[in-house]
Amino acid sequence: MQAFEYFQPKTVREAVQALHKHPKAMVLAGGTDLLVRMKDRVNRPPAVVDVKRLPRSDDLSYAGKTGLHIGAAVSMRQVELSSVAQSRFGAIAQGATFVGSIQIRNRATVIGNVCNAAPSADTAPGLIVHDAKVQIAGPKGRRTMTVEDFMKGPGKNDLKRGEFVLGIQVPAPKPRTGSAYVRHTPREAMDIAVVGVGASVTLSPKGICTAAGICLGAVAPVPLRATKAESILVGQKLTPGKIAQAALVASDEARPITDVRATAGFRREMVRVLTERMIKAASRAATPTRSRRAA
Amino acid sequence: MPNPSLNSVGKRVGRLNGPDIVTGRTLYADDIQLQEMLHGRVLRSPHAHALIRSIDTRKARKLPGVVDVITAEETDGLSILARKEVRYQGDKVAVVVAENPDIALDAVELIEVDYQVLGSATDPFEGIAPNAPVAVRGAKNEDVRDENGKRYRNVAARDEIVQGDVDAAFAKADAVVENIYRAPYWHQTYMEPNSCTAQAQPGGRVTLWTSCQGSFNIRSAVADALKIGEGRLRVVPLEMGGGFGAKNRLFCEAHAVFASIRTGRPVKILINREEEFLDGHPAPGCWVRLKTAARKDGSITAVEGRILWDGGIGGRNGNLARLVGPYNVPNIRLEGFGVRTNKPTPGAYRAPGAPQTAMARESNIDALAHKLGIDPIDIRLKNAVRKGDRTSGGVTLPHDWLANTIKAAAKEARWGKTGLKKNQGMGIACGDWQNGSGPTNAFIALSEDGSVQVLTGQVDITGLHTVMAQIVAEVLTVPVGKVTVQLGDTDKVPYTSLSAGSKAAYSAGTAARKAAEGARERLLQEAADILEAAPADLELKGGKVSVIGLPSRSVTVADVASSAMDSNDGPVTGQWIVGKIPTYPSYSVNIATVEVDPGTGRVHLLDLVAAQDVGRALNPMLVEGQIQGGATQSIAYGMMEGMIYDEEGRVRNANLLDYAIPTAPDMPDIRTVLVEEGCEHGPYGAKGVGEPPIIPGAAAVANAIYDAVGVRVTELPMTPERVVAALDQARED
Repeated sequence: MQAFEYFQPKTVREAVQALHKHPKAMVLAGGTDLLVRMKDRVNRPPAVVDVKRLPRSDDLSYAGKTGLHIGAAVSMRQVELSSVAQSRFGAIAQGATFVGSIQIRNRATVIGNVCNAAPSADTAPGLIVHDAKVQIAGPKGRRTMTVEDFMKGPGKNDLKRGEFVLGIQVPAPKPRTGSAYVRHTPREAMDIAVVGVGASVTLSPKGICTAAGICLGAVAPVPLRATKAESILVGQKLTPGKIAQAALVASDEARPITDVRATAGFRREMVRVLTERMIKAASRAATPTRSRRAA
Repeated sequence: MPNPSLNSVGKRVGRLNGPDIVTGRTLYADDIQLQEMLHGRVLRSPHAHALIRSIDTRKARKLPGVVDVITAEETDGLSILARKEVRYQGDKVAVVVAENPDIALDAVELIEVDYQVLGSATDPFEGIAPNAPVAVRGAKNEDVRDENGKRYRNVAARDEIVQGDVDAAFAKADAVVENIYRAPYWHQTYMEPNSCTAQAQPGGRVTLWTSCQGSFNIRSAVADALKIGEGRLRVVPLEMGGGFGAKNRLFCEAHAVFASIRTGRPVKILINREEEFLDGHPAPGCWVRLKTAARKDGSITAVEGRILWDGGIGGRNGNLARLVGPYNVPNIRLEGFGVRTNKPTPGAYRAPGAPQTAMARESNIDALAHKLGIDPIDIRLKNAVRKGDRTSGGVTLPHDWLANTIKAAAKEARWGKTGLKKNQGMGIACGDWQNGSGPTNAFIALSEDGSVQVLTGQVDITGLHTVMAQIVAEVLTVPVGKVTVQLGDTDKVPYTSLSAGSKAAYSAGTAARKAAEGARERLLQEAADILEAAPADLELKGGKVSVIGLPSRSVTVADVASSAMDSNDGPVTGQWIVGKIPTYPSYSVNIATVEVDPGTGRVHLLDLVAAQDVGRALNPMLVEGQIQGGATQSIAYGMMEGMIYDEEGRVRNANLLDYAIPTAPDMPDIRTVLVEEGCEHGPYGAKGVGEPPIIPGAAAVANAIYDAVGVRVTELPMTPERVVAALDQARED
């Protein structure tokens, strides 16, 4: 690893200043991506700005009005073990569960996963189907945008000079909303998604789907929202036939490539299989426990 | 089962060096730090095959902190660096020696090499095509021709086995199975990448510390590479973080020695994980066409086929007879090629060549069983080599070892009795391996307090030293804790062979036993003087020598050892040098239970029974650990492992993220079964146990997949994508 300047700002202002002063500086949270790349000489930043000491950076909290707040230094493990994330934001909690090992998840952060902008980021599909927004701090003040728009391409995000992500805000889901995430990998753990699928559905009291979210990981340069597949579900009762139809459309919407992990054709097929499974899982999660038992 | 008359041998003794290893106290090769030590880093070819037009090292040499830059030009005719041609991605082009590793890496990046890229061959099947690119220019190849009389390319070696009347046997067969199997290059993925440190001394000798499986092999190899005498080198082997056969051979040891001689300072070269993949000594892949015939009663009548071993730049050929395996087959026609490809020459990996060939052989036998409606266990029992049969290794078997191991595995797995659910299946596969032996040694000396010091040149790879301590403790009737085993370097012990070929405990265990028996004799002789009795009237028991029938007239081992220091015959010692010892084959049988997800193609291994004919387990805990480790490696080759090359011959997965090995959640708790029927030559009836466990796992999974979903995957690894493709194909058919 080459020598670099290290900053550990205690305020947002200090952080913005450090980042503005060193345009090639990189932001350090958990370090599970950055430090590995620095050791491998892939990234050689002259300066590193550690955001873990910022006030409330490890805040993971939920309020009925504002929803779930995930601070810049909140670990994957915190989200994975959070009961509110598990019960209301299943796809996000499940996404966090898949990342690395327990040791890695104790270091790695959700914000880092999003900023890193890998198409295979395991927390991204869950965040996107839950309409999560990133809160950005920078020299010109603060701004917010959706996670979907924030992730621009492999390794590319929307941050401008001097900016960094303070936190993520996920709106409180409507009643009878459920979500789920799964990924396909050749092994059980310590792997990168070949395909990841997050889905969310909101049901009316009569079981009609009033809103649906489907987001596909690792099959496009960014986590890809399958909007055509979503629209097939909305206004419908989620019958096996409807779900299968949506899954087939989602696999058409995917834009996979062939790489060392899988061929494009296999990825497309996995999108179909996993989308079908995730819509079913989301819809089970959206169904109140009592009526599920009755059924 | 443990022998009740033994106190130490056969017991579950924890590894004596285990606590130091798990608490980080063990000294590994990269822990060697010397005054004024320099660090070497290697510039490697980015191309699979190219000519070097020019190398410009000027910028690298100017970088402050760089002490030396070595290219072929500086090596005076040695072939430790590429001169005109790089033959695989990772081929060594230059070594930079600098004050610290970062400077060395910076300097490596500053070297400019002008390459003329050539065509490359990385697949043995495509590589032999008459119009394939030449893998290595000017290399001598065999003149072997295709059916049209056109000469195959890149065939470095050819062998064949012809026996009986194969065509007649196929004509008369009731069932014939023919498949094509493929297996990729397979890296040993030990935890510790190689590191070595060389220190040239003023008198001209050089000391080399390295992580290796045999210090004398490394000494010979470095001497050969640098054209110097073995006597100039002292090789100090250190505790190894895994080798599995790869560390039989050199990594950068010759380069470190050469650089230390040039600079006059110690030089350490550590290679990283990517370099391990690009320029290690992985197991070869292969392409196999195998045709097997059987009669209605299940007897296998003929085996015919061809194997193309992916031989790297050396075109290394592999084993052919293993396509027949531990079965009696009267008619055989097999042909094997060692094919030159643009990859590093493959090395040994635990039972070299056996898992790849077992995949083909055991899949074909399984398919025959299904075709004929015979139980896969029964077809194997029907054809298994039995007592009185002569093996392909030329040994006449004294027992039904294979059949008994198959039966033991079937019993443990409750073969045929488990209620499998939809998409679940069970598969069996067998393997055989004959261990090697010697040369090796053990030197024993007793201290005044009755503790026992053992010195050996045999490197400990999986608990060898613990087993030697158990054996010595057994013979001298002292607690294992009183025995220490030290590894001697090449200046301190006589020539010792590799810890490989499942021979370390077999051979060094024999040396330990014989040396301890010598020490015991000397102990009794010395005690005879003290007790004023004839040695024949004495017995050694529980750490005491006493007169038989008069237990009160006794003296402790410590007292004898202590008094011997001053005696006419001197201290109590014993030593034994092993040359060669006869050996027998041993057998391993795996039964895998899997569940296949037909949607994703994911195969979940629910259960694995691994039975092995071990002779006698000197330490059941260590033997079970060996079996579980080997089986895991085989399962991994079956399900996820393998090096992937792109069109330009570059490795696509030279890291442990893209090159998948299993994690703990991927593996069930492997159930081991030790079949202990003894072996007349090994110490206390032991056989070599290290290699057999890795042989049948991949094939057992293949057969279990067939049982679960009715498709046969013939290419390793059997990834989800290949399983889905096989299912799609079956639907179309």
